Amino acid sequence: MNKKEFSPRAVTILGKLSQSTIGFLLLFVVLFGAILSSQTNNFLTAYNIGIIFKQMSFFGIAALGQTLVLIIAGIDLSIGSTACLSGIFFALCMTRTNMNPILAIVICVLIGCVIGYFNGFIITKLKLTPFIVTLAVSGICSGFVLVITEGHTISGITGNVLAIGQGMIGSIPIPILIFLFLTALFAYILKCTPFGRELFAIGGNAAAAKLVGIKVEQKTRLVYLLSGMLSAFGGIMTACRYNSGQPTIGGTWVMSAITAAVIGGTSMSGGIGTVIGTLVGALLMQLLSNSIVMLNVSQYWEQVMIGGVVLIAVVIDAVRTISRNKALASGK
Amino acid sequence: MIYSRLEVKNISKSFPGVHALKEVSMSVQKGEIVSLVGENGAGKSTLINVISGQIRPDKGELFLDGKHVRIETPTDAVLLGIGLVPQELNLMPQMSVAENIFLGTKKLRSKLLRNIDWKSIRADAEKVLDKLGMPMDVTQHAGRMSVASQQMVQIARALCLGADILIFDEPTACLTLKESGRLLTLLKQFREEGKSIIFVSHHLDQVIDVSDRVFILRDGANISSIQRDGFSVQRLIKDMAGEEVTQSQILRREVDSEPILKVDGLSRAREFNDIHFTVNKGEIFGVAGLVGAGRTELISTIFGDRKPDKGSIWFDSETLTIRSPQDAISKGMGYIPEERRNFGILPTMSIAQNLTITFIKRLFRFPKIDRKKEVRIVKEYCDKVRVNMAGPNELLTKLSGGNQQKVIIARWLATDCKLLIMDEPTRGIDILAKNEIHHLMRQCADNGMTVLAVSSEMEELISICNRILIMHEGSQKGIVDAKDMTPEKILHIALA
Repeated sequence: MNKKEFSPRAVTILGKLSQSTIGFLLLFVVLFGAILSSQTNNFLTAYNIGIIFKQMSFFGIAALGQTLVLIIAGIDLSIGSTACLSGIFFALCMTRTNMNPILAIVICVLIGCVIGYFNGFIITKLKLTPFIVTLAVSGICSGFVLVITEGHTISGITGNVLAIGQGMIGSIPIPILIFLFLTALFAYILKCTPFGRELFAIGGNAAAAKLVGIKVEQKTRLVYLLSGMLSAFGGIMTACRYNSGQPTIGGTWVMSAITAAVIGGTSMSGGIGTVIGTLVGALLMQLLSNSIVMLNVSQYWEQVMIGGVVLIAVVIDAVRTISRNKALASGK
Repeated sequence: MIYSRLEVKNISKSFPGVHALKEVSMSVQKGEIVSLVGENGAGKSTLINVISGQIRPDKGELFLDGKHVRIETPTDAVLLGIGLVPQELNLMPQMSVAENIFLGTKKLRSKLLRNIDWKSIRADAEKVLDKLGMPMDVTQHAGRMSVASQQMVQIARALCLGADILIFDEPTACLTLKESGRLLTLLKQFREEGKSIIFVSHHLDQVIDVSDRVFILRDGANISSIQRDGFSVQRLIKDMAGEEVTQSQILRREVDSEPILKVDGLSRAREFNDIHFTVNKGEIFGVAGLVGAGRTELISTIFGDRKPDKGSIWFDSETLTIRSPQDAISKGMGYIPEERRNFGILPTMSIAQNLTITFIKRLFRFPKIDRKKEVRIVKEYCDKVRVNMAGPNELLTKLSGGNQQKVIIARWLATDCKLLIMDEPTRGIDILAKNEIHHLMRQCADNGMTVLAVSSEMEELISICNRILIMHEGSQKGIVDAKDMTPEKILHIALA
C-alpha cells in the first residue's frame, strides 16, 4: 500500500459512499437531471430522454462485453475497432452484394467473435498482458478499416434491417430495447449461472480458481469472444443507424465503455462488477454529454468533462481496492 | 569488558495468532561464525528479519559493540554495517552485475551533472568479485547467471555497502555440493578477516563444519547455545526437536483396507526424484521434510497442477494421466494449497460462493443456481466444521485465518471427494483452530475419505498420521509408521 497514498479518513468516507454503488449513482443521476431540468426547458421532454437512452445503447452494448472482461481482471482495448470493422463489413455486404440481411448480420458478428477469440487465444496461450495484446489487435483492425474504405464512408444501406439502428416499437426506439434485453441477459448470466460465478472467481484470484477446477484459460477466451461479439453487434447497429458504414464508428467507445463500467462499480482489478451498474454508468455519461448540449456549452468541452469523469471513476475504484485489501490484510 | 560485535537481547515478536519470538537473545563476536538452527517455524527468519531491520520487534534491544542501537528500517541496518544475503536472492535480473552490486549507492563523476561514474563502478565490482574468488564479466545481466554466481553478487553487494556483520539465510539450499564447499571456505575467510557471520542452515553437517557457536531455536524461544567442543548432529537434533514431545492428543487410528493411491517412480527435474508410495483408503498419510524437500511440488504434481517428467500415478482403480486440476477433481481429489491467500481463497467472493465453487454446476437447475439449496449446503457444512461467522453472504476475507481455512476444508467436504490433499493445513493459524482442524482431518478419514497431508510440524504428523513419507532435498528417505516416531527420529531419517 506504499504506492498509493490516501489519507485514511478519505478512504473511509469515500469507501462508505461507494458501498452501494448503483443506488448512489442513481441518486446522482436523478439529482443531476433535476438540476438540468430546472435550468433548461427541453431537458425533461420525451424526445430528449429518448435521445439520451438511444445514444447510450450503441456503445452500451460494447460496454457490457467490456464489463465481463474487466470482471476476469482483463481489459479489451479493441472493442471500438472491432465494432468499426464489423460495421464496415456489414455495409459492404448490404451495398455490394444481395446478401440476406440476417446472414450479413451473422457473418459480421462472427467476425467480431473471431477477433475476440484471437485476443483471448494470444492472451492465454502466450501469457501476454491483455492491455498490449488488445491494443495491438485494435491497431490491426482499424488499419484494415482504412485499407478497405480508404477513409470513405460506405453508404446506401437500405431495407428493413435498418430498424435495429433506427426503428421504433410504439414510441420506444429499438436500439434501447436491444440494449436493455442484452443487459438483462448478461445480468442473468453473471448472477444466476455457474459460468457467471466462475468469472468472478477467475477475476478475484486466477491461481486459486484453477485449483478449484475452473478452466481458467478456456473461460478467458470465451469472455474475449463475447466482448468481440457484442462490440461487433454494436457496430452493425450503428451502421444501421446512419444507413452507412463509417470509418469513425466506435472511435470513442473504449474510453466510454471502461468509464461506464468503472463508474458502475466494476473493479479494474477484477472479481467485482455488475452489468446493471454499467448501464447506470453509461446513462450518467450520456447525461453529462447531453447536458453540454442543453446548457449551450461548446461541444469541445465534452472531452474535458469525460476525461474528468474517468479520473473520478478511477479514484473511486482505487479507494475501493484499498479498503478491500485492508479487509484482506486484517483477515489474516 | 569486551563487548560482542552484535548482541540481541530479549527480543519478542507476535503476529496475529502466532508468538513468533519469545524473549530471544543471541550474540556474535568479531571474527566469529555463529549458526542459528531450528525446525521450520522455529523463528529463525523472524529473528534475522529483526536484525536486518525488516521487522520491528515488539520488545527487546539490540547492541553493537555494547552500544544500544535502534534498527527500524533495512537502511538503518545497512548503515550500521549489517548485510543480509537472503534465501530468495533479490537481484534485479535485467540489470548488470556491476549495477546490482552498487544498487542504491551513487558514485558520481561530477557533482554538477550528477552522472554516474560507470568506469569506477565496474572496476570496483570486478575487484570485489576477484577477492571473493569469483571473477566474472560485470556487464552481463544478473538474471542470466547461475544461482551460485548470483549469490556471489549478492555477497559482493553486502560487502560494498560496508557490511562487517553478514547474515546468510540458507545460503547453500540451492547450491551443488562443490559450490557449497566453496561458500563455506569463503565464510571461514571472512572470519579470518574479522567479520562476524550469522549462518542459518538446515544442513547440520555444514553448521558443524564452520560454526564457532550454535544457537538453537524452538517454537520462537532460545533452547540452547552450544560451543564448538560440544557439537554433534545428535545433540543438535535433540535440541531442535525437543525431548518432551508435547503430547498433543494422538488422533491416529489404524486402518486395514485396499490402496487408493499408488505413486510409482515419480520424478520432476530439480524438484523431486523417484518417489514411491501407496496410500490406503481411509488413511491419513503424511509427508515430512524440511523446507526445499520437494513436498509441495510432489503433491501438486499428484493433483495435476504440474506434469511429472517420469513415473505414474494410480488412483482409485485406474492409472491416471492427469493433465489438469479439473481432471483430478473430477476423479475425486481435493487440494488445499499451502498459501491460502494466494492459492486458496477467492477474495472477492462470499463465504457461500467460496464454499460451493467446486460443485456449483451441480446446484444449477435451469434457469438458475438453486440459492436455497446452496444456502442449505453452506449452513450444513459450516456447522460441521464450526465456522464462526455472521452469515454465509459475508466476504470470506472478513474471517480470521483459522475460519478461512475451515471454509476451504468445508469446500472439499461438500464436494464429496475421495482423496483430500492438504499442504500445511494448519500454517499460520492459532492453536485452538489448529486442534479443530486436526479433529476435522480425523473426521474426514473416519468417514472414508483419504487424507494426504504435508506438514513442517513433525508433532502434527505424528499425532494424526498413520504413516509418514520422509523426504529430503527431493529424494525419498523412507516411509515410516507414525506410531514408532518422534520428531527426533524423523529428523534423523531426513538428514541421515
